[in-house]
Amino acid sequence: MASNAAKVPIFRAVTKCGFSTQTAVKASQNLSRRTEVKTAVLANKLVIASVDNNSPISTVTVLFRAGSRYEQHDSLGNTHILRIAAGLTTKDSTQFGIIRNLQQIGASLSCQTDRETIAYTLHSTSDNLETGLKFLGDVASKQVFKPWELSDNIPRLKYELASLSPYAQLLDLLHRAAYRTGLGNSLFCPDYLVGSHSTESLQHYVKNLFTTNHAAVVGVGVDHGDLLCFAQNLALESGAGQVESASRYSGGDVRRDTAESLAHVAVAVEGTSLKNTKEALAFAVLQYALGVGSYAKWGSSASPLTRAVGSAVGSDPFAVTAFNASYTDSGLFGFVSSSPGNVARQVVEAAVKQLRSGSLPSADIARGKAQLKAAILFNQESNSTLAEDIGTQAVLLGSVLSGPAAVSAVNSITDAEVNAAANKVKSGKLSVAAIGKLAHVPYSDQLT
Amino acid sequence: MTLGMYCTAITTIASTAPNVSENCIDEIQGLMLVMLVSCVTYGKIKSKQIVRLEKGKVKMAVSSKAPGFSIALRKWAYNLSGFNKYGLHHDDCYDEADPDVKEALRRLPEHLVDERNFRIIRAMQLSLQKIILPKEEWVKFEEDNKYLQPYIEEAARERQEKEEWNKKY
Repeated sequence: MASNAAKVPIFRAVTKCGFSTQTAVKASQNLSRRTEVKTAVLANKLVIASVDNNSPISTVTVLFRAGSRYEQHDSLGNTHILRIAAGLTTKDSTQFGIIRNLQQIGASLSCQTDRETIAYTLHSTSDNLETGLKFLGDVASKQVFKPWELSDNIPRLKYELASLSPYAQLLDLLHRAAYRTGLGNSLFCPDYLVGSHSTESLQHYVKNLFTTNHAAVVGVGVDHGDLLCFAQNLALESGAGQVESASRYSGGDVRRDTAESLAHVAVAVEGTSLKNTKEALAFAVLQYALGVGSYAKWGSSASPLTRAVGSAVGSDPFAVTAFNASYTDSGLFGFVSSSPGNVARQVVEAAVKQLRSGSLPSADIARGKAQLKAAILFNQESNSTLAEDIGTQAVLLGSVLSGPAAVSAVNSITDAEVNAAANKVKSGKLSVAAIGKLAHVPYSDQLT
Repeated sequence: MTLGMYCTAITTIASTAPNVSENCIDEIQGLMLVMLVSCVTYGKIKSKQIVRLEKGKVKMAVSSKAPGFSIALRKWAYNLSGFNKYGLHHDDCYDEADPDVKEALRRLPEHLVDERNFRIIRAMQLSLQKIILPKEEWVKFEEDNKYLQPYIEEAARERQEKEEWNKKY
């Protein structure tokens, strides 16, 4: 086993020695693109996945299943604070040290959170990767959360909260309406809890959730052996950690009136979980088939959703796109629309009617498939989106579907499967979230 | 009268006689232990109390002796230094103009800052009245927890790191 071999100190030294020579080889040979994903699972359940695509830029991500769904009522907003706190002083390096050293080698370190995961990502040139990885390891696994640094960052937190786009808020509201707790938790710290997150509560959260079987390490443009080496040396506690409570879809309305002339509305029913790959792909095809906006600049989309809404509102402006989110044990499927407040009713009613139509013409399904395949392959083009893609799969599912494999899986989805998904949408209970000028936005019980 | 006004009033009077107490003690090994307590004001409470405790040297000089003797020596020096008679702790006497101390005080938890401010105001009041606390209220060597020390050390380490970096790049 490669993973065991690298544990022996001598072998580790050998792999380390290889660091400097490898980059030279990479530069001199013009090797063809490789998209093959290598995965390994360590004895402590840490999942490792890498694609060595000979890129001169290496991207390494450490992910944890510790997103906002794991927050309890008294720890709401923890993930937002964790994201803000990435790059603050750790056990081994100071904020100053992290920033300056990474700048010096031209690397960048970022932290992304979503409802299920927290991801710490390092982008670095391959020859400086080793220096960068030291700080990535520090930031991802050795947090200390100095109280004065946390309070120094409160203005930044307030600024972020004040500049949230209506769409970010809308999707938060939609999840709240659909799940109430767990997946319904906001990605952002609630206003009334700003400044209340103590060092202790953050440490407790990290200790519970940043364990090896909640974690994955993925790399793009990195040698698999090097990545194994890095992953084994991460200072993570092994153990079960906190177990997520199963999501329960509830449905309903959550609305927030604001002083805007537009009404942004999101409507969804329960979709499918990521674990059910076949169904998840059918829903993804359905999303593209219904329409995800225009594909040509200033052009209008010919998708069923746009056509249905367009004929209902006439000359008034509107935007509508199908929405699909899959999580480990549940998912949402629906649409997001924006329009002037006075035509919101027509927009939402027409879109819901199309959403609940129950089946789609096969021409639309074929277009949906083509667009989904293109989207998957576009994602594989850039290191950062590829790392994100692989990372999410590795940390949530423990296995990774490579790009070509995903494309052939999409090919194997039949019209019947997509229509089965559409049928599920037809009968699901609605969740309606709205923000803006809501006088004319219908409630979920007024929609069929 | 607000706290700020009160402090300003005291310190304005105190600044007319800046050196309230001054002790110079020669130790056996020729160590110098100087304490200068003076009160200055910059609008807000700002006591400038300088203690030059050559701590490292004390340790080195007595390291060959039994540990009991070392403690006894430090205790003796502590009682001679005098600030404890004003109810001050060792760490109340650092020069607040020092950037490390300034940063350390910024980081200090609020309740410790409040306690410290209380002790300093009390000491200024006592010094102004040319009196000291009754003997049973003097701070004992054992009771003096160096609450600011870890913060100062950390701030100093961070400053040194910055200086090293600036030298290198």
